[in-house]
Amino acid sequence: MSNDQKFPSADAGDVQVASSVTDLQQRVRDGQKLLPVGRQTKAPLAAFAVDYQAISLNTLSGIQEYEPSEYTFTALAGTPLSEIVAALASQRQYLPFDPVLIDQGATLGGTVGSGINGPGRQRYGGLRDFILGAEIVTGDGHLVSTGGKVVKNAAGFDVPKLMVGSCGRLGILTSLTFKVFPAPPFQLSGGVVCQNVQDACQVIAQLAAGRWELDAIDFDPQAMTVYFRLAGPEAACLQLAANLQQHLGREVVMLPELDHWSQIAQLRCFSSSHSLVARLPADLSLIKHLHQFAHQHADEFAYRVSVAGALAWLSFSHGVLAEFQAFLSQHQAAALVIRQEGGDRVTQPLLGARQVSTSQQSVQQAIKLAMDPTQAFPPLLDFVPVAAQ
Amino acid sequence: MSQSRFESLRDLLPADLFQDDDATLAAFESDGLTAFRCRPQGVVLPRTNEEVIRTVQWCHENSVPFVARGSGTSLSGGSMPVSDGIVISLNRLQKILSLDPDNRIAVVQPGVVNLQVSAAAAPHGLYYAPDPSSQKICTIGGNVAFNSGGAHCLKYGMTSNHVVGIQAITATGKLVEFGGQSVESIGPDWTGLFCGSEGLFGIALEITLRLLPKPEQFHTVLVGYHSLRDAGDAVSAVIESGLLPGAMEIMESLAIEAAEAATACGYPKDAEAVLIVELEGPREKLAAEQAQLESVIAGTNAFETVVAENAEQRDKIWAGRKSAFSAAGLLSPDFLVQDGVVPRKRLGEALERIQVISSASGLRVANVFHAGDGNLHPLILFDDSVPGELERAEACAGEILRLCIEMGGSITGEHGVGVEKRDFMPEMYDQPTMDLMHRLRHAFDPQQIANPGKMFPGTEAPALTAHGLHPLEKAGVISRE
Repeated sequence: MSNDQKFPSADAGDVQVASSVTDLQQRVRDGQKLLPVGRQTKAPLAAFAVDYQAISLNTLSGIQEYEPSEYTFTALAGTPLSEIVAALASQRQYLPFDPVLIDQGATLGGTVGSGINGPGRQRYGGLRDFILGAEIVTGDGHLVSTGGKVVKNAAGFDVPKLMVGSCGRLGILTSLTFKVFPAPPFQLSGGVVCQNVQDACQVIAQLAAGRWELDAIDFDPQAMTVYFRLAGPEAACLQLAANLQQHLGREVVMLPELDHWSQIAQLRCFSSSHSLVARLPADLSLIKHLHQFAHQHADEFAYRVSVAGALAWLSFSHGVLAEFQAFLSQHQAAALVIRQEGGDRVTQPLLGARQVSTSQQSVQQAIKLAMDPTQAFPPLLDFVPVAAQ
Repeated sequence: MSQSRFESLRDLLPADLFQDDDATLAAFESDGLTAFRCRPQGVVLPRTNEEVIRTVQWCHENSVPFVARGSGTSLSGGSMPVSDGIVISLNRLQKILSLDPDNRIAVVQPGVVNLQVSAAAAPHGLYYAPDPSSQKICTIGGNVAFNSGGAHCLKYGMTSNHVVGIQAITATGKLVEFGGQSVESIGPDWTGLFCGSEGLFGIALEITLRLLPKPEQFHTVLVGYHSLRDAGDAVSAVIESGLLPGAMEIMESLAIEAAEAATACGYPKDAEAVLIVELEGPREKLAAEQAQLESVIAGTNAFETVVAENAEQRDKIWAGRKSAFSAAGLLSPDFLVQDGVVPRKRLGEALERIQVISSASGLRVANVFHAGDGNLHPLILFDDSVPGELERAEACAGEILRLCIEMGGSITGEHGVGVEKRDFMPEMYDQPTMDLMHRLRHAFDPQQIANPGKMFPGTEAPALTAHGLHPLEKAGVISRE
């Protein structure tokens, strides 16, 4: 059974298909209320805009320009990541932030819209650091060309970055330009077994600030193991691994392949009994609290840490939702539900109660209106105040 | 506006924070783009966030334009004042508020000098990667406003790639917080939009920066070529080899001549072009990569290769490169510098076209550029005392910017649009895109009081005066990329 079947879209039967960019522009000018979607591998992000017509960009697919010597490519928003990753690999290049859900059919536009990074974000940065340009249908039906197609550009407002994580609320991405890097010739992963979460956080901090230039640093609390990935010439990776082990003064298990990375890349690292998968921006302090929460709700809540503690991937049952909302509220944190299955559903994908001031809301709303003057696209995802339990 | 109108601002602030004496005003009338000068009505020198907020809110309520300024090193006239407005000088807001080595972030005030962040992070083995050449003096606030670059952008990106969160006061006096303390976030990347907005949205009060582990070692190579094209081909060869250098710079003969005269940097004699390639990282990785680089360079038409054996030799190689612009003063009394970008594979073609433009204008152009990312830095040499030369130099600069647009590049890679290149924005972006940028500006600043006259054409024209080196440049304190 594929993961797509496992996590069906809430609106799978009610998606129209854009035939062209002009078609999209015309629909907006005709006053249609639209929510752009790709292959809905992150269905909750599109499932709650009930008054908006889901419009698929899957037909707007294909790599438009790829210049390996420039380290750049431009592709239509509906292009599957698998096609892009394969084209880059044929030239020994890659997107260093490890885009997720490739095998499930995730598209480039959906990846930018959801703002999700994989473990490789650790070394060179995330989506926001590699996006260079974006063509967007704005809420007045115009097609705008923001950013640029060269690796360096400081002219004008950085609208491409604004679109990262915008979840289709600010405009419809039609074409995107990215910077890419040469792929490392060799990768080597390792695991450091830790005594407890405090120890693990200490190891993460040590690894992240160390001389080894690690590509990825994650943590699996069930295995109580911090995983890391080295990339570069093979001999150098082996020497660095040996040096790292010596420096830490504890056993490091070296592995040519590590299931953890592919599990994170496919968001398949969690218990099948949990109905919700979410991502939680974090730091090491929050991770320690999260560990305690997970311990208290062991059957219903699990997590993994990515990007050296800056991100937690969560899976949990609907039954623990209220407690988790309270946890987020207590720590002024927010999480975004990426996937869900089963009958129980969250009422909106953004969880938590991060306080946003009225003045901040008004500025964000003004930006929304600048991008979408006719409100052709759904309102910004908002934070719902949650009373302490 | 009558002077008495500023009395209410003076009254609003502690004594001496608002200054409007001639000496103070003169000190703030220009920035690193010395071609433009404009005397403001007054200068506010706040010591606290609260004083900045109060000042901006007063400007909003009284519709008075304001220009936020750090050290004034902008090369695009980004912090040039406006005649009916005030300057808010942020240099006194110079505290590093916190530094968290475990999560590798620092929260700083806008007046903190770029290099001070790395100095504070150094005991933890960390540093702040963006390194504009003026990093000894330029401030983080200015870096954020203009999304400053440096020699290491290809590998590490620009300022915005290292800003995690921003607390800011908008032009309408609203306090906002974008991003947070984690490099990951949810929702539209408001922080990314704010970076590089050239002060048109408001003033950043607290900036959360991402810190990286300090590279353990550097491997710096200086290579001499008999033609610029050979040097350009070498860049392509390095890129194709799969190496990712921290920096790749090219200087051509006129710039080499200037650098040699200024610093005796010992660049290969008779070189038409020199290429600097720098690898960085842990020693094990460098050992493998430097052998690879050596092999790549051996396959090019290099006639001389110098490898820095120690930090002193590395500094000497970089001293030549970093002095190139101020050294141009030895070749010519005045010069203009542009920072347009072209696709890397068209660098050779771009340089040939610049040569044609140079010949047609009758002005010499010295080329230095960040070859790894196609970022040109043509220095257009002229003598302002010769009637008409300034105008010819500006026309020459304009042609080079149009060339960058035509080639699918950008009018600015790292200096920003500012006053200098605002007329070229509508040539780079079409009308719907320009309209969108106007709407975004309006979202933050409907009165257009925050740093007016920058980025968008058709606004207040500043007074044009003689070109020349920035006083700090003359003193060797700062240099241009």
